[in-house]
Amino acid sequence: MDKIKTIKKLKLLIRFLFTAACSCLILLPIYFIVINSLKTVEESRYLSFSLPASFQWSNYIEVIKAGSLIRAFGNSMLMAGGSVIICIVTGSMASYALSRRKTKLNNFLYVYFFLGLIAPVNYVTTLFTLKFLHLQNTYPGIILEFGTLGIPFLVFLYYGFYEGIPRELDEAAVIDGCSPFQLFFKVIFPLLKPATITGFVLNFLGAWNDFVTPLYLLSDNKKLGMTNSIYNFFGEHFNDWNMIFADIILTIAPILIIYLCGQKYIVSGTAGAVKG
Amino acid sequence: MRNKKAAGIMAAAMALSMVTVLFNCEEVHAEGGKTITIAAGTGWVKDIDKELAAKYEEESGNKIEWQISPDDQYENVLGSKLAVGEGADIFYTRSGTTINKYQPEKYMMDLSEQEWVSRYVDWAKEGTSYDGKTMQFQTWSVDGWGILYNKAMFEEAGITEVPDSYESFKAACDKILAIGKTPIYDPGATQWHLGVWLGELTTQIESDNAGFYAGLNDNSQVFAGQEGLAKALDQLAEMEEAGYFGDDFMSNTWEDAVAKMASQDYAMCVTYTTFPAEVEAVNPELTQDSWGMFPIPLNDNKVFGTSAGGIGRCVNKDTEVSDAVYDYFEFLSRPENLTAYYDARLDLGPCSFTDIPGNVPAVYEDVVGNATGTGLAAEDGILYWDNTQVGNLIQAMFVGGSSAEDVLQGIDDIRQPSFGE
Amino acid sequence: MYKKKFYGMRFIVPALILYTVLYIIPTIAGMVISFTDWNVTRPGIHFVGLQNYANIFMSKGGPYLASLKHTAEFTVVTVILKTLLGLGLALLLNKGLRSRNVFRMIFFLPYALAPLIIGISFVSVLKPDGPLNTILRSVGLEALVHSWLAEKGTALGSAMAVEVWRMAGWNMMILLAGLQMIPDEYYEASSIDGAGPWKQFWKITLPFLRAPLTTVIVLNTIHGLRVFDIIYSLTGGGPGGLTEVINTQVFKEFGLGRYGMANALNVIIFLVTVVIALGMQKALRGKEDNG
Repeated sequence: MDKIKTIKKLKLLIRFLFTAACSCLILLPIYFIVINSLKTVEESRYLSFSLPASFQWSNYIEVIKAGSLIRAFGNSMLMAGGSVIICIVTGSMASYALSRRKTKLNNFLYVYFFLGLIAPVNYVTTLFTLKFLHLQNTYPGIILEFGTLGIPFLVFLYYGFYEGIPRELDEAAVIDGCSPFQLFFKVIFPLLKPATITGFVLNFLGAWNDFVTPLYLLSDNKKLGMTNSIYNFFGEHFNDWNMIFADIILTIAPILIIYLCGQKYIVSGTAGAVKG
Repeated sequence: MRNKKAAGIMAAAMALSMVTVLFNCEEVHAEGGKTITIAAGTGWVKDIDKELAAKYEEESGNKIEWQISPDDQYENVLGSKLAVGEGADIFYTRSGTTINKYQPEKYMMDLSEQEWVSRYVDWAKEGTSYDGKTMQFQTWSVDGWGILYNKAMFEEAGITEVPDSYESFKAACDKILAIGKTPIYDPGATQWHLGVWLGELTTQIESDNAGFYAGLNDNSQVFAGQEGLAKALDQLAEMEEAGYFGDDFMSNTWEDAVAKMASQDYAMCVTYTTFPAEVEAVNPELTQDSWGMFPIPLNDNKVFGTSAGGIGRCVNKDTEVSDAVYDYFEFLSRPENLTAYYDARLDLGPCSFTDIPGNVPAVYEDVVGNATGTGLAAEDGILYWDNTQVGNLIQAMFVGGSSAEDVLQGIDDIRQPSFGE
Repeated sequence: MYKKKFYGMRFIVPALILYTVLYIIPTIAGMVISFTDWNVTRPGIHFVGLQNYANIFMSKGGPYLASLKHTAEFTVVTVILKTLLGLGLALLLNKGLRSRNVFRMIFFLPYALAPLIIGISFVSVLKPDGPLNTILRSVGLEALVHSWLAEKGTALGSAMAVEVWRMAGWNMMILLAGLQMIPDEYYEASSIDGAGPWKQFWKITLPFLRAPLTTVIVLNTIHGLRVFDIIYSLTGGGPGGLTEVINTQVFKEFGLGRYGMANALNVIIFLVTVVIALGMQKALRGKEDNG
């Protein structure tokens, strides 16, 4: 009996070591970025793994000033946050009706939304459309656009989840006298926390990380978010790797926090998506 | 519990940032005056531009709003914004033939009537003209690309004469190799820089038989079959094989050029004439006098190809604040502001206005002295020439095994569709 | 009867309007442009029929066919590697290890980073004197040292590797979700029957993973065919066009102002993707319906 236990433990240990070794492949480049962001310009030029002679925390303060990162952070929060709310509300509602009532029209609409996962975004014609609506170079314009780009994925994500919620629940609520919107927002929507958090995190990441869309739809540099500001920063300080890496860390820190908060739900969230 | 807390913090952060942003918007609207929007690539706008803009804002009460895009995205963004009618009031483009690329009749304001046009030096006036009209306000410099060399290293290697033919150039490279240095720093990973090599050599073809550029620009002339250029490309490939560019040639980037030349591991590099000032800033031992320059001697070239004056500011024909824009240009063209500008821009050479000399670098005199003549290089003389695309084709010659003739044919293939049917 | 009232169009309409106005209409307008010679450098737009499409397929040895080929190679290799590595990681981290949550987080981490940022960072990691070569030299693998992004043999491969690095964890997440839906009783029952882990994998795990595997394969394919950011920020399509893919080509055409051609390339990649994605879904899912 003891022998079996030991073998089991040994196997587990091997598995742990193997996994840890694999995770080094992910962590080493990230360690490399962190360590080089704390060096002087001269040290960072060698692009090595060695520790800096002294930690240059001031790099971060300098980058925040030079890249106007506080404003950029506010912009990113506004754009990513606002657009996520829009696509979660509209996407979950649409997906709900499409999944609960499978008429021919609704099945067609589902495919129609699905094509959005594949179709190329055309920035010239999109800019033209926004101009037509007088939304070019405005926060509402870019928020609506980011929100729209997230809709196809959310319709797809929620669709499978609704299948898992028994219809008897709907019927009971209807008998209790719920209105359609009460039924959805008070009864159904709260049951979809994993899907909502998954959708929230993934779309937030998408909007935060997208640098092409703002390039075309926002002209004013004061409205650009963090990913675009790092791109401009890279153009101006192409040799200051320490500063570039510090900027990178500052850009990814907020999304890592959001990711960590939502991490617990992502596995169960994606589980629902793959059922569909 | 923890999640609720996290969600609370998130919501608070978001609300806070939204308020900050909206507050900032308010601030902009609170001030009077007009707002001038300016679109440019990252590399074209320096601290001094922003300082002068701030000074102008203070003086006039108008507001300057920058729309800066990464250099590699700028042309794409500019083209689409103009097409949609969303162009900035002022947009930067290269001077010379590049002006033709943005439908000047449709998108650019004629600036010929402005006072400062009379103060332009000849090359600036010529480079900013389209169809006899002045289209740009330019505070840049005429400059060209030649082979910058480290004088002390040439002496150490026993090179007494400045190379003026391919043979003497090769001999010089061999001598540098013999003293254990790399002859040439060339950023093979930076596509546009490879394009510069060939773009300098078209100048020679034009000066040998005038009308070559005109033929290319009205699409009656092609690159395929140009023996001089094919020969130059073959020689370029031969130099790479001989190891004159070092081992990591194809990984070298232009961004490292200043540091590499300052390190004195390399004897030569294809640069513009103000480059020594940038090296001096890194390594004070190397002064302006440490360097000389000669035209790229491939295909025995002795002609120095120059730009049409660099980068200029166009005014959008649809602008609603033209008066403010003219006012801003008038401000920038004042001698004291030009002086401040050129003093800060060590990367620029002679001034585009007659008021002040600018910075005429020693190597500029040197390269002109070593050349038999000057002329426009391809980038500003040949319509639809794109250094990046040409460099991509030359890279293919180094890594993909295509031939010199393939490169020339490739340039035709890239330019042809832009002329239409 | 209540269906119509309770799941009516009013739920769909907000998303439908936004999606149609801000996504579908601009996209269709773009497709219409692909039949014109619209060029920002010239006045006027003319209808030219299928001319742009003909140019793409007629130019023998031209840049378009080469970029189609690179896109296909990139897609095939990355789909296989991402899926297999994702599956391996999912099996490794499904049960047992106490620290599995930390590891899951680590492997998923690259997906949270902007491809642009990954590109900028890996340019420095893959430099000839960069950290990767430093490591190779220090462990005595001098022979494996390369100018990763600058050599013919390694440029496209390096870009693929970075993409796999970025997406393997995402594959793992979806497949993990699938693994967690397999009831333990199946494994217990087959253990009693004397089935080894290998047999269990083929008889239980794989059949249960058909749906999530379909999802990741289809999405990996879509990502592969549409790849842009990572190639653009790593190599810009160079050196010498060796890593040129359809979308970097679109970007270039766009930069030259040739909107007609840029949109024609977009339409081609769209049609190819739709056909492959729907075809795959049918092939992979169809069996499940029968079984």
